Parts: sequence; structure tokens; C-alpha cells
Amino acid sequence: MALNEPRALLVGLILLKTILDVVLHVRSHARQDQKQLLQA
Amino acid sequence: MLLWIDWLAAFLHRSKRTALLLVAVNLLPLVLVFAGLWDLQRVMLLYWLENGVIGIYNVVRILSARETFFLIWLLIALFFTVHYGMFFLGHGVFLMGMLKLLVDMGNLTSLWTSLPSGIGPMVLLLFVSHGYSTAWHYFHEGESQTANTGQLMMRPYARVVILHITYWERVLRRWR
Repeated sequence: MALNEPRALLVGLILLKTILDVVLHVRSHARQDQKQLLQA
Repeated sequence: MLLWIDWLAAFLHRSKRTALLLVAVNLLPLVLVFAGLWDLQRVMLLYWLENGVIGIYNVVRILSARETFFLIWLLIALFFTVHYGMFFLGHGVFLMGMLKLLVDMGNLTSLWTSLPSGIGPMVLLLFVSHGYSTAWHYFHEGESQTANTGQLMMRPYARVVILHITYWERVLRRWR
């Protein structure tokens, strides 16, 4: 059942996902902060 | 550019707990891979289930948004649940086929018991991490007051790119 993937592929996948999550997280909150500033 | 850097520094300062939690939970599978405990199957299953966790919190966010007109948020939440739910299940079926996992997708107990060991605790950890982030940013910091339900509805779809990259890598590898 286990897939014998090269470890480099897995490491790349996890790092890519981590970076994507951080970018989406920061972008989403930047947008909300901008809205709150405009409303203030 | 400088303003943006200032904003990022201020954001990281006030949100360091959620940002650190996000990075730590994301890098935990990396530790498990290096320890030889996790493989692609577990990582892919975790990312798929995380999309489900994010979908649940997104419904909570849509239902709590203050900016939208009466009952519209309810229709948007309903539409999102059906559309994203189908998207999520479609991914699941494709993933189970790719990983050759025999699971009755209509039976949640069967799905949960068929998961390889270690996935359950990680999903719970993600549930706590995303829950904390939602509670802190969305409710405590007041993002629910200015959130746009249209933007909220689209938010989780950007994340599925990781699963797509891996699917295509495998499809292309088989095709070659």
C-alpha cells in the first residue's frame, strides 16, 4: 500500500504547501486589515 | 513597498502565535517523513482531509459574516457546502483510486477506520490549529465585521493546487 516515492519529492511537496499556506494566510489577513483601515 | 513591509512586520508581531502554529503544524509531516514514519500516501490523505477541515471553518465564517444582507449568507453557505462538498468528495474518490485504498466513501466510520495510523491525531491537530486561527483572526480581531461572503466562498479553492500538482505529477509519470 505504501508508495515508494523519493524523499525529495515529499520534502518539496511539504515545503511548497507550507509556503502556499503562509502566503494565503498573510494575503487574506492583509485584505481584511485594509478593509478595516478604510472603514475606520 | 516599505509600507507593505511595515504592515507584514506588524502583522507577524501581533499574529505570531497563529503564524507559528500554522508553520509548525505544516512542518510536522516533514519531521515524520525524515523519521521514516510517513510516506506520500499519508501526506496526501492529510492534505485532502485538511481541505475538509478548512471547508467546515469556512461555513462557520460565512454564517458569521456581518456585511452580507439578510439570509443571503445562508444561501451562500448552502451553495458553498454543496459545491465544495462535491469538490472534496471528488478529490477523495480520485485519491482513494490513486492510493488503491478501498474505502466506502458513503460511510464515515469506514473512512475513519481505514485511514493509516497517525492520520487521525494529525487531523485533530489541524482542526485545533485552524479553529484557533479562525477564533483569533476572524472573531477576536473582528474580521467577521468586514468579511465579504463572496470572497470567503472562493477562499478554500486556492489551496487545492497542492493536491492537483501531485495528481498531475503522478499522471504524467504513468503516461511517460
